[in-house]
Amino acid sequence: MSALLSPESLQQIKRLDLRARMVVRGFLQGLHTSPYHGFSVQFSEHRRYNRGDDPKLIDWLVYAKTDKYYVKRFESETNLTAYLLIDMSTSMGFTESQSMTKFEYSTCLAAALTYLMNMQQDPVGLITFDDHVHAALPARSRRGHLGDVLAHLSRLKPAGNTDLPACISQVAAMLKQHALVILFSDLLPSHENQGPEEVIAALARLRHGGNDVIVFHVMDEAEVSFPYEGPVQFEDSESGETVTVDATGFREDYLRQLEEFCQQYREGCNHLRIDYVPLDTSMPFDTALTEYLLQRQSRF
Amino acid sequence: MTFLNASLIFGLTAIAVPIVLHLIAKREPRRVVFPSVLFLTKRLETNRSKLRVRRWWLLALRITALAALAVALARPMIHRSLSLTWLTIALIMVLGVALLVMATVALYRDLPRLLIHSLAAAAAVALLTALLWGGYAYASGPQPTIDEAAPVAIAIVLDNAPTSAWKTVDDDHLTRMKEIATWMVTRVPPTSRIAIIDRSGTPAAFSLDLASAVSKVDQLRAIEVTSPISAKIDSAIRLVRTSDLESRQVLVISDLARSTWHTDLSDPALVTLLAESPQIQFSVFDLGEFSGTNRTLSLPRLVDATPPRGSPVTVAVTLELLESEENIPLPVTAELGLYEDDPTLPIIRNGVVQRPRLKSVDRTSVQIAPAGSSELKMTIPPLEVGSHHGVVRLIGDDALALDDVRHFTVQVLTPSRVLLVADNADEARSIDLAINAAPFPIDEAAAEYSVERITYADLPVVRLADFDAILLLDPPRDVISDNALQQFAGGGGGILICLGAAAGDEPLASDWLPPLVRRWRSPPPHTFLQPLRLTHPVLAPLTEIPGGVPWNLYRVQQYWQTEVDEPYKMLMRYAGTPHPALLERTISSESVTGHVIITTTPLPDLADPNNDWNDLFGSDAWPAFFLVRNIVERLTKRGAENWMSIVGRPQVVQLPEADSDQDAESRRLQLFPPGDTAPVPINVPQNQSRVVVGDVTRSGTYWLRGAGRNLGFSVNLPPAATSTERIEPTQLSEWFGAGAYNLVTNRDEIELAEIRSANRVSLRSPLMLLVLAVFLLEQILANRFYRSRRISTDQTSIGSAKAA
Repeated sequence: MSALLSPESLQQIKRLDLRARMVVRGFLQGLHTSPYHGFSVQFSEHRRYNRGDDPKLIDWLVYAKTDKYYVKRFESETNLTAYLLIDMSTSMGFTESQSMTKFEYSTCLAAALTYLMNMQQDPVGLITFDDHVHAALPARSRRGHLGDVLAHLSRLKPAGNTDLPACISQVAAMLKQHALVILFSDLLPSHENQGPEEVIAALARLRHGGNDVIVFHVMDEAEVSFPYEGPVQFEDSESGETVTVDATGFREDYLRQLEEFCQQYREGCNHLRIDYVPLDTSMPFDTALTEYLLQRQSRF
Repeated sequence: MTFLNASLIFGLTAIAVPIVLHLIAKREPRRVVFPSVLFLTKRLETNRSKLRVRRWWLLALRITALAALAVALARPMIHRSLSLTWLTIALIMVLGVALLVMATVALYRDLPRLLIHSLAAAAAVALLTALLWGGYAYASGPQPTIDEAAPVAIAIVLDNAPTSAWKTVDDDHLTRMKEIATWMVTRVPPTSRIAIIDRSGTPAAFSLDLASAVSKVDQLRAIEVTSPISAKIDSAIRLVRTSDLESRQVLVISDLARSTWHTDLSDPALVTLLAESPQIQFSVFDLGEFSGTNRTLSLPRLVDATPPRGSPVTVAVTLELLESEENIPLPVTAELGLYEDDPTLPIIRNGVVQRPRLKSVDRTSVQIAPAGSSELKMTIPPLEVGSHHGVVRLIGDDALALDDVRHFTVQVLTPSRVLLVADNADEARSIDLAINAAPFPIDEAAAEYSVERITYADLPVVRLADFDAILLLDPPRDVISDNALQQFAGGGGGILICLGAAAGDEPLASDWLPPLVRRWRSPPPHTFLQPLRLTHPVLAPLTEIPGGVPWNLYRVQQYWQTEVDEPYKMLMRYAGTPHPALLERTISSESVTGHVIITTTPLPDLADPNNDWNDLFGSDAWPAFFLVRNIVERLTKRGAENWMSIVGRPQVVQLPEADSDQDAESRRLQLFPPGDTAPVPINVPQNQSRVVVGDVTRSGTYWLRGAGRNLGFSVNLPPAATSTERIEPTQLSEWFGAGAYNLVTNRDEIELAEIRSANRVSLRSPLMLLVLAVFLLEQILANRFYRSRRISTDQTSIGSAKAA
């Protein structure tokens, strides 16, 4: 299953809808043997009447058509409104291995989640941002909405700087009802004054609005492993700033810095009961999907 | 400080390589776009400084490794007196480096700047001090003499004593001695002065050139006649001292055999000489233990070296086996050989010396245990009159061949004519039986002495010149003072006078005899004979008897008291008195020597049973029996000639009388020494009856042709010369003084001794250690021994992701 869900294999499939379908089917197929056996998503709006159910909830129209008792479920209780919040800064377009950029990885993952939620009739909305929020697609659960989301995702191109705290705060203000906000970002600030503290503060605002939040911290494999040797001139993809260092001697320090950075987010998110999922572009998608489903389960 | 291979110091230029690589040949940085520059800029300066420090350390280590390697290859030497100074400098340098390391650690741990700078400053001070001090010591300190290209005055004393011929399957002392000497000779610069000195009598002198020195070493062989090693070492030291070369050495190569190095043979002057010559490096090379099996024969002992014709002679030798690791008895076979009696030999035929053929005549076998000894007895068959030469030899090989063969010469003489004058027939018969006694029935033809018995009445009419010796038993007074006897003795004859009662009661003065003072009656318990000159030919055989001779059992009641005047010598006296019992006078004229021997008590005392003079010829009268035989042998000069000698001693050969019809003024003889040596011509004046052979340097049979059939003599090596007992190496201190010599056992130790003597200390080993340590540090610092941390970091990252 992991082979099917690996970014390398999916990269060969150009159509995003097919990619998303492949990811989800591969994932569901894998769930039969996964540790989460027994958990599944209810796909029907009605279920057979059982003894003890409230007779007021029986859908008499269905009974009239089929002569069978079905219980009508409340859509507002079962539907999960989710918003995919995707970072479109230039840094997201980085790839070292030339296989899949962080942005492509994010869109692929977002598409898969959209597909999954759409199958459950859960409304899914899409919000993109760089240094400001781009109003995208509102949350809808109809089947045609999936195509809209995927089409939109496939059109997106990473460009410009990012202002993550401001954008998250803006999204928090935008959301009127409790929703699941899934953030795809490399969390790298464009300015030095935008540290993790500001981002965590913005996430806290989102969380205090009653929303559930999942942060997918998407990084490139090179960012995690720092595979450079010897003297290297690094150029920042957003600010254009250049730094010349001896990569061999710097690796240890870089990795320590990165670990501190991730740790800050991990602690901040834990504190806010936000799920923080560090990912790099070499990791299979099931990690991300599992994270989503765990989050989904915790709501019921 | 100085360098043995100074040219290799140019290897220091190799340190330019890491410097150039560090400073100039930097790689151009690769340009990459990277989103996480944020994490690089935060600690950029700190990291850059750490990195710079690390790279400087790497550069310093690489420079140090190359420099230390170059210096080590150049083999630096310091003067021994500066050892402590250089050690202190090294310690200060180590302290400086340690402080630098501490400063670096402090930098890496982000400790306060003040601390880092303080440590760095202290390190700089320490290193600067070490450098300045080192430079000063290098410039001003005494330089060790290490110039290996400088000529050396060297004397190599090769102890080629007989024991140097020790040769087993595993070890060959002589070959090893040659190898070491050749190695020493070939490693010194060609302009050196080299003296090869062996134990022969050749004076010590420097060889003309290196090739002649090597040639002299090649020609070395074990010799039997050796000069004292002390004399050789003395001459070697004095020779080297005369050289004006700065570097001087004396090397003695020896097996430290006790026969050569016994403390009694040491010369105290050597200690003084060495103390006066501190500039000479004096070493003794020990060739090591004598390991192997060796059998030794003692000198042959002939029961009678001058037997009568047709009489077999027993030869006895003692066989000894050296203690060996294999403690099992060894079967040994000894053979007795006689050279064939060929009047035409030896001779030079076609340029080769042809000697008489050796014929085996007897053989015996024994089983001998290690460290044991055994007496071997073999019999020479009856021989004709003349000289006969032979050998006793051991069958088979062992480590030392020199002591497996012993040579002997038997001189079969015609019977000596003896005139026995006595008025008492019993006394005459007793003496006759005593001197002609043999273990077998007396055979007239084979008797040693042809005895004619007469009475004093017949003495005046006897032609004395027909006899070799006259025995006068209890002579009357007129006979004693007869001058005819003196003339007989002066003509080479021998006279025995046994004084007794017939000499009367009154004192007697004679021209040629000691004055008879009185007849002395010794009071009970009477006196007895007491030997004085134990080495005299008459008494020497008696002293060799195990347990000695119990003269005190044979009492003397009466004797003639005489006065001892020159030229008489007292051989025996009466115990408790100054009175002589046995006197001898030697009368020499021209080339002949006669002896007069006087006993002051009668031998035997059988004339008057009522008037006892002595008990010498009583029951069990073996001492008197031997005494009489020895006296007669002395008088007749049987056994006077010694035909067997030991090496190194000149040999006197009595020549037979020349033919009267020869008119030549001198006789031309040929001496055939043993071995491959060519015969030596000897011219002897016609009137000379003896020849002295001085060049007796080898054991074996020496033939002297031209003077008589089979004339010659045998020479043996004394067993002590082949003794394999060694002295303890520490005993050399008694020879040379403690600390005045280097005892070496291999070539490396010779080199070490040379370095020590040159007061120099090699820094090569510590520098090589430094190179190794620096190289390892460089490898560790450059992370070459460890895998990249990337893998572990990846694992950490993934692990944390999964945990989340």
